[in-house]
Amino acid sequence: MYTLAALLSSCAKNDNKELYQEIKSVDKMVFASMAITKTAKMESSDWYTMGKRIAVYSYDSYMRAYVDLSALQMDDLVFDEDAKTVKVTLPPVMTEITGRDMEMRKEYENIGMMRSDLDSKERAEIKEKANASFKTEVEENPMFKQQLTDAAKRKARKYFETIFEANGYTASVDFKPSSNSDSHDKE
Amino acid sequence: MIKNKKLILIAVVAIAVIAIGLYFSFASPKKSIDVSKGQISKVETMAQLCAIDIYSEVPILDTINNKVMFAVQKQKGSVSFDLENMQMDSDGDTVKIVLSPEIVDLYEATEDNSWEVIDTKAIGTMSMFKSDKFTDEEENAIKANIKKNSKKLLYHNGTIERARAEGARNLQTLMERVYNKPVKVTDPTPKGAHFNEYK
Repeated sequence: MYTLAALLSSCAKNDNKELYQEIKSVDKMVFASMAITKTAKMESSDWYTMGKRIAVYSYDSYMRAYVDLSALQMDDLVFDEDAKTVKVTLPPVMTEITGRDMEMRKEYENIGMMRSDLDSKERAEIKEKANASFKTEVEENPMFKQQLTDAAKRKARKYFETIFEANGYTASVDFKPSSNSDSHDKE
Repeated sequence: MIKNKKLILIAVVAIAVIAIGLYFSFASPKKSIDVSKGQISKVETMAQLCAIDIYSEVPILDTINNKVMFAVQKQKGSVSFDLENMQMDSDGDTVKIVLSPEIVDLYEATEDNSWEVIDTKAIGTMSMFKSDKFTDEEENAIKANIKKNSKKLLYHNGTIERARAEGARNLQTLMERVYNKPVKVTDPTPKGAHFNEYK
């Protein structure tokens, strides 16, 4: 990494060529997204320090809920031409973490005259701790996924009912049950 | 003799004071980081067709206010299309759809060490007397540059073009099932609706 830093120090500024890039083709229909705010407070003090050194930062992380259209089978849409109805059975709603804000918001700071300002590595450390807490929370608290999944199902039903209605059909939309082997959370 | 002893004593005290001073300058005080519970700040619903997922690791070398930062960022993103605001028309038995402008989302990843600051330094005249610490505003300005440059790269390395082509194909497959009719998707901007913004 440090060799890379030395190599890059000779490059022009604002160099953003990727070290690694993976472009994955997908066929997802996204119906809901959620922003979750994490706030972290850093405080450093010891018996020999004079003055406070407190900083509070926050940022948002994002999740989304989607159905994988590549799993949609031909017989998942059943038309009844006489009754002008269609029965739609969509693949299960999946959730995933889409990422987090690059920037951080400074909510509060109190740095005494005899104390040093925060540096970038400390801010990165704060974000790292908040991120670990966020991932644990998403794993352990089903409320986030449930709320997101419910919103996505409502929207999916409304979307398909509207689109079929415009085509002269009354749609009933349902979702396939998720199998236990399905990973419903992807990072 | 007494004079020499006094001098030695003063030197010892001076060295001790300097040593203690240096110790406290470099010693890092106890640090604690407390993280609050996550709060849901927004839930949005949409109908978007996502054609491409992106994962990258990007080295960052940027300068702002005579301070240089070198960092490595892991990014996650996607290219999607709004299905609720598409132009649709019918031509005989065929449904004609115009592919909407792409929505390019780019975030910092949530893997461990997705934002790793390797080094910072001050440059310019008298740089040794200047601080190399970035303020949060300066750091955020660098991150705004990163986002802009990374998006620009997606337009210029063909990722957006590929996303639009795949988006058009996926949209056609979906809509042919929905309408039970032939569907033709046209793309007025194959290189990207925002290509000119990132020239």
